[in-house]
Amino acid sequence: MGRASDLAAALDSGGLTSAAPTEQAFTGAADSRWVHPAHLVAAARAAKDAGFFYESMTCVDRLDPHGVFELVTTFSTYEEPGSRLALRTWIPKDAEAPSLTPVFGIAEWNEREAWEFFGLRFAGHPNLTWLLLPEDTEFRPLLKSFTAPPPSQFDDSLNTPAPAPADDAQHAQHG
Amino acid sequence: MRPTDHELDLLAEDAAPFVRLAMVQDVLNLARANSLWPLTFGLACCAIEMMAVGMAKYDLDRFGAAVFRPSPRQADLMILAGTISRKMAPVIKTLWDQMPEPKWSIAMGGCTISGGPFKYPGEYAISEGAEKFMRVDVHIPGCPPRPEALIAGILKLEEKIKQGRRFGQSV
Repeated sequence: MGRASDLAAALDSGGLTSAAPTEQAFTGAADSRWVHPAHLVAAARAAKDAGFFYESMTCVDRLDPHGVFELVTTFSTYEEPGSRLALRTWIPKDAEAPSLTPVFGIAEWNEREAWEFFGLRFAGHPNLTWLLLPEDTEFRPLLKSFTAPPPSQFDDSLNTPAPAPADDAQHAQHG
Repeated sequence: MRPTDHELDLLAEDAAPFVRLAMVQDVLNLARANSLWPLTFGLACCAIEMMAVGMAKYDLDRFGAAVFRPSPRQADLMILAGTISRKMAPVIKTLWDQMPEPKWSIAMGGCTISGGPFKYPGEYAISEGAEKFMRVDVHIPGCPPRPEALIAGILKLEEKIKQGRRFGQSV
């Protein structure tokens, strides 16, 4: 579709991206591009200059190839309905991903989410901390290797009953 | 001279209290049952049904239980309406501890009873029921329960309060 494909072509000619499979019916993206992690920030800046806004970023714990996170960042524009461009990046699990916060401030929350659910760190993120999960969460629940969380501190707190209220005995007498 | 057994019985009858405080408790319980003040808070979709119960069509005021209070200090009924996430559980526990005695609680819907549809192996975000961390007087099953079910639950609770029963004690 028009604008997304134009942007993708511009990114390709700039040497930032290469064609990726686009299945619009499944992905909702009008065009899709592979981008090297080192070029992700430059590609995002080019998208912003072309009038696109940052829509979303999701992380995938890939089984094939093993040991890789796939980051899918989508950009869109109000100028033309349906013109959504997806940028796909592969990040090795032991590496840090580039943060898009210098270009799009709203990327901060998506990256915090990816960090808390997958443990993927973002280089240059201003506040990489928990967003949705409790602040003391140690586990990474969306990793494929995750099985079950440790019991919460509340799970058994009723097995040691609190002292009965003072007027309870009075109630029980004639109740 | 040593009193006879009959005289001792008469003395024991005289020693019986003139004031029976149990009657006062009954009157107090009647007042409590008919002026429940629920805490204003909802957790998920059950809260929508709870709000509907407060509105004109179902009119919870008929049962004296529609004075929703915004502060736990003023409330004596906690209606747990919705999914309890692990992140929210400590907050609910704090609110419950802040409510003055006597206080009662209603677990509304499957989530607050057992975790409901969120109870499965590996669940990391949802607490499996309110009774993991606090005591509950009345359970109302449903997903979400109809407004009539909540009214039935509140009437059941009022029955319980009138009899001076609490938490695990059934009516």
